[in-house]
This record gives sequence, C-alpha cells and structure tokens, in this order.
Amino acid sequence: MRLLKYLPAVLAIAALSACASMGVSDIIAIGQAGQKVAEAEQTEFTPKQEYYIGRAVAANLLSTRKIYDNQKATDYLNVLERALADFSDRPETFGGYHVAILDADEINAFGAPGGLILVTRGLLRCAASEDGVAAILSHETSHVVLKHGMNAIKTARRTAAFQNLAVTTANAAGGSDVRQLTDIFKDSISDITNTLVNNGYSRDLEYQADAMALQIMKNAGYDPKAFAEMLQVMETKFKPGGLGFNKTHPEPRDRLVEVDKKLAAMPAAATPPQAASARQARYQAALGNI
Amino acid sequence: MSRVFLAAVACLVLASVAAFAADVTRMNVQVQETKIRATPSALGKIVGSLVYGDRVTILDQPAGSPASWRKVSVPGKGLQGWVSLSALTDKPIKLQAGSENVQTGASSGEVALAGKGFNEEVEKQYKADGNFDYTIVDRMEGYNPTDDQVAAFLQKGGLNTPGGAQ
Repeated sequence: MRLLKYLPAVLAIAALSACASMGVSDIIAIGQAGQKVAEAEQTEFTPKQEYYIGRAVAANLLSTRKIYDNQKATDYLNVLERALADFSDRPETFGGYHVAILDADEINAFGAPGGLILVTRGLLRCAASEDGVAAILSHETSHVVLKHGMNAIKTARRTAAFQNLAVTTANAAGGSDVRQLTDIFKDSISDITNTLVNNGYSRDLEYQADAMALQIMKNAGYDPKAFAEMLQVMETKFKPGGLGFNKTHPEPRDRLVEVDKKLAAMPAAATPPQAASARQARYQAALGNI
Repeated sequence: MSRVFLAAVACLVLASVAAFAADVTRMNVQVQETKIRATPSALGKIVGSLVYGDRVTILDQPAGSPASWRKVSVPGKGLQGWVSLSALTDKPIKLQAGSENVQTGASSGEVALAGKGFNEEVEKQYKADGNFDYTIVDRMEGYNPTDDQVAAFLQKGGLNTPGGAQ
C-alpha cells in the first residue's frame, strides 16, 4: 500500500528517464504530433538544405548552358576533384563533390552549394598542367567549403526561411506549406545565381577562396605556384567590361598580388620528375584537346 | 519494501542521468552516405557504411587523433571505426516520413518527424514551376570515383595520401 502512495512520483521519474534517452526531435514528434510547434531556432542551413539549393542552382545554370560531353575529361576532373576535396576542411558534403564541363569558350566556373562544380572549356584552357587544373578546382571547392554561395542568400530571405522552417508539423507538409517554402526557395536560388552569374562575390571572398585553394593544393602535394601561373594566363585574356569572370571576379593581376604574398610564405614544392611527367601525361590525355 | 522502492528510484534517477550523459557522446550522420573507416583517413579501409540520420556513439579519441575525424561505434551493429567529422552533427536530425529519396531513418531508431524544409517535395514544385531539367544534375551525382581510383591517382602522380591511410 505504501508503494501506491509513491506511485505518481515513480511514474514521473520513469517518464523523465524515458524522455532523457530521447532526442529533442523525438519528444516533439511524440508529444505534439499534428500540432505546430516551435523548435530550437535554426540559424544556418543544414547540409541537406544546402544540397537541394545546390541542385537547383546547378539546374538553373544548366538551363541556358550546354555540357561538353567528354567522358575521359569528365572522369579525370572528378577523380582530381575527389582527391582535392579529401584534403580540404570539408571533405564530405551531403551529396558529395561532382564536376561537369561547360561547352563554352568563355572563361568561367561555378561552385554551386553542396559541391556541384561547373567549369568551362575556356577556363580549363588557362591551365597548362594538372597542377593548374588543380588550382581551378581548388578555388571552386573553397567557395563550397566556405559556403560562399549559401551566404549569398539575402538576409531577409534567410530570416523568412528560418521562420518558416522553425514551424514544423508532425504530418507531411501540406500543399500551401510547400507552395510557401518553394517561393522562398526560388528567391534563394535567384540570390545565388545572380551572384554567381552577374554580381560576383566580393573581392574579399575571392581572395579567401584563393588562399584556401593554395592550402588545398599544398596539402595534396600540388605546386601552389601553378595557381599564380594560371592567373597569369587569365590576365592575358582579361577584358575589362567583358562577361563571365571579367565581370564577376577581381582582375587577375590584383588576385596575383594577394596570391604571391601567400606563396612567399609557403615552402617551394619539389615535384619528383617521374611524378611530374606522370601528371603531365594524364593531363594531356584527358584535357590536351580541351 | 521501502528499501526496494528507494533502490528502484535510485536506479531510475541514475538511468536518467546516464541517458543525459550518453547524449553528449552521440552524433548524427548529416550527409546522404558516409563510410566508417579503419583509420582516420579519407582513403582508410572501409569497415561499414552509414546513411543520413544514423546515430553513432563517439568513443574516446586516442591521443594524437586528427581533429577532423571521430572514432565511433554504431549502436546495435557492433561496428567501430572512424568517420569524417564533416559527415556528423550534434544537432538532432529530422527524418521525413514518406517519399523522400534520402529516407534512411529506419535504421537510426529515431522517431520519424515529418519536418518541413528544402526537400524533395519543394524541389518537385520548383522543377514544375520553372520547367527545369535536372537530368545533367542527376548525372553529375553519378560521377563517384572509387577509393581505389583516387588512391592510384594520388600515388601515380606523386601526391600525398590524406590523413596517413594505408
């Protein structure tokens, strides 16, 4: 009988104990199923949200651009990209890093959020070696690692998205919710593609991506000086007032100044002759006719 | 009787505290798929796979472990190894009931919570609104070199091996 007296307390402790073994989301799901509940405030997009945004950005860019369908070149770039990503600060994104070549003479590349990288034939022609191609891909990888694309989403949009995402239902989102979210999603994609295609990132962000690219190259064993060589080639092709990278990136010679400062602080890379010739041979085989 | 009762209460309180403490050592997989590796390296031998929403227990990190890797075990699977920190989060993962192509929560033991978000449903609506073709995007996601290809590429090119994999 005495036990009965304490039964409510025992049950309460048992319930607390059970709750403690569950995650917050479990409790929300069980305790408030079907109701709108506020969750912990979201302050940044998750890798999964970034993934869907990146897919849409890439699909958007590809709606007006053609792919250069060359399997050998594409395979080569994807092995190189995976190798570089493994030496970055963010080797794994939700859907991974993948590269496709755009069939354009224009000098340009886009690192869509989550790791979908599009690079033009024109830009690949600015690299004279595998190390130069590694420089291009390391720069785009750095934009992804540093989430520059995601950060191009305007603050107001971000706030609206997080307010919307903070309210969840335990049932699948209804039609009107999907509509509302899709509108915010669409605006977010516009923010990013406008930045990638028209406005460009700020000078500071480009310099950040350049600096991180040098580090990735060094970590992987590439010669970071190839980055400077690639910029020198780009400088010869730079057209003030032109389209593509002319419009969205700082002038190559300005980037060179910053890159040279970083290179001065890095020990010179010593590539064994056998390795150098192996790299050059496979670069020629894959991209020699790009 | 009262001793038994007090012991029961003590056990429940201890279990509760232990459960709270255990949560600190748990993390969730935040990427579509990741590998458990025998060594803390992107090319370490694969000992298992994890998918989005899977929960891992963080083990004691041996001295000198790289900061970007976590030694983990997988509850109920008897698996132990290393996972890249970039694939893990300490935030709860909301799993969606229904048709999402990354639904993988069954194995995690988490209660499915149909969270709203930028997900497959939103993508479907976006595609329909803008008449976007995702064929190339989907094809790109199929470009996945194997560990062996990457290891051979690095080795032949006289490049480094990530994280000291053997």
